[in-house]
Amino acid sequence: MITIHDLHKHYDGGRIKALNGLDLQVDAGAIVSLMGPSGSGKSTLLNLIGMLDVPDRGEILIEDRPLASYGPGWLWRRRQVGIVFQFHHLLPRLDLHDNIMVPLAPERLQRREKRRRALAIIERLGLTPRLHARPAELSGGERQRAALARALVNHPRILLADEPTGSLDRETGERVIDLLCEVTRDQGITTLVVTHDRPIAERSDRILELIDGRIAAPAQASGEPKAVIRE
Amino acid sequence: MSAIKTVVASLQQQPLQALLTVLGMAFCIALFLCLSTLSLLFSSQIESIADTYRIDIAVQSRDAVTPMTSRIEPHLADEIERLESIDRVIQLSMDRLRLPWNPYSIVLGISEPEAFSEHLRLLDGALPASDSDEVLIGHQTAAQGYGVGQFIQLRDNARFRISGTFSSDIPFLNGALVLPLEGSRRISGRDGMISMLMIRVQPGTDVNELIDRINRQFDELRATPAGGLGREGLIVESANHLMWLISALAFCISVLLMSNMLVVSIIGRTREFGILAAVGWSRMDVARLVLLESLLVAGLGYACGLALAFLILAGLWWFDFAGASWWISARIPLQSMLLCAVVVLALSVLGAIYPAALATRKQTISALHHA
Repeated sequence: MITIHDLHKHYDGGRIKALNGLDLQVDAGAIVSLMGPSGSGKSTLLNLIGMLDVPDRGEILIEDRPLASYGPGWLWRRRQVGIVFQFHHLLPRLDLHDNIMVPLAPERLQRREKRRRALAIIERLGLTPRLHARPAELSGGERQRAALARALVNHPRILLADEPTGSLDRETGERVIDLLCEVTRDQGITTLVVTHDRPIAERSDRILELIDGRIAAPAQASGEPKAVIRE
Repeated sequence: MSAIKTVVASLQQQPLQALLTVLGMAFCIALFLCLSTLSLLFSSQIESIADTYRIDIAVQSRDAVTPMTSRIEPHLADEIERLESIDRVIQLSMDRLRLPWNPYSIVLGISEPEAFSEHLRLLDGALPASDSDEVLIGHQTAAQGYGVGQFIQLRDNARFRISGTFSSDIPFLNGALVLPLEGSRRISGRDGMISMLMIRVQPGTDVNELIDRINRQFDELRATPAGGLGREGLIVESANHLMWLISALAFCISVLLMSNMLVVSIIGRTREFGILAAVGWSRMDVARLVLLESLLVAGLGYACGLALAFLILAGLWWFDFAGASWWISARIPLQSMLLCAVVVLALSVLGAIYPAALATRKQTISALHHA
């Protein structure tokens, strides 16, 4: 599904090497957790796959096609990718229903169809009772579920979640990640989750560790496992 | 979720600024509507006189600022009447008379009062006989307690018998006094001069060619098509130019207000635009959102401006400011409303260009991390 080869992304005139020759292959429908210290390139990788940024070198293939062939970034994000951020990034003046309709607004779909899609995902994520609540009236877990619903409302093939539980307590975070895994498995969505939390990462199919802009070697001489933890 | 909801929500984020922008635009729009309404009303009423007489060409003295300041020697009327292709020349004297109930009473002296009968609705009595001391009065003057057969004192030594009353679709004529030409000369102090010549040409005549001929042959006269009478007086032209200048300034201010509000709003919503880009909105979608916001504010400004203009005109009429009730109505012409709507539409697009460019230039990642 996702094949990445020799991916480089540098900032600040090359002084910061966020990604430094990263290679990666992710199967269709798999849920992969990305772990690693701050600055190791996890978020940068998601940004590049989401076409929020462009690599300096290397290639990203989606189903053996270069990412650029899927059109401009906005079209890629609208049709193929859903993104969940650490902070929910819901629009504060809109209620939950309208927030989830935001990605559908520019789509040329009938209003009824847009509403049907939104209500379906809202129900799937158990948010129906909070339909007309504004973000400020929602709990942290509800906000993150709303953000997940917004990412999934366009039926993406890939979900990119950048520390989706980072602003939640452990218990709420685990509930959100369980729901995320359940929905994406049901719908066969290829998912990349950035997390610092091992118990949350262990809910995924694979755990990869990034260090200095690369996937770490499978095992280190010190005996400390740093690469593929679980297949 | 509709784009309208997003726009309304964004306006709610800065309600005071949005309100002030709407009110500022409303004031500018009301200013334009009032000025254009007064200008159109004035022009159309003068033109309606030409229409009432079914004339083709109007002639005034070349230096006349308004028909009332025009002074034509009567022998020139005879000379023009002798030109080829002329069917009829009606001599008209037009003056303002300050009466206790109307400071802007129009006194129309006309060489052929019967020309009126075709287009004025005679309510009572008859037209004044030629060479008589009779006067026909508009129904607003009659409402001051005057009736057929009574006498009305217009100047110290000028007393006239009321021959009839009339009504007209031209508001200021309803307060006018219509007399035979000789009678009007007694109260006008024009020394026998007349104000205008209203010419009806013979069928098949090239009106423009005849106008050129009159303008070439008579240095002291200015002939114009009767239809343009209301627009071609010097004072009307000057007033129109002033109106357009003030309106242009008002609309420039509107654009600046609009742009300023949108720019401030967009800077404050940097993260929102990052979110929209992250969920798949294109630059065009974002630009459309900004444009919609601009249109919504302009639409509200237009609605408020229309209401404000109506209130101002109604106030002028109701309080009879400077005798306004005798010649204006609180009706805003459809022509003015449509013109204003088109201008406001164009300005809202113009005012949204820079803010839209600003919104679409934002980098998604940095916008998402904006505080």
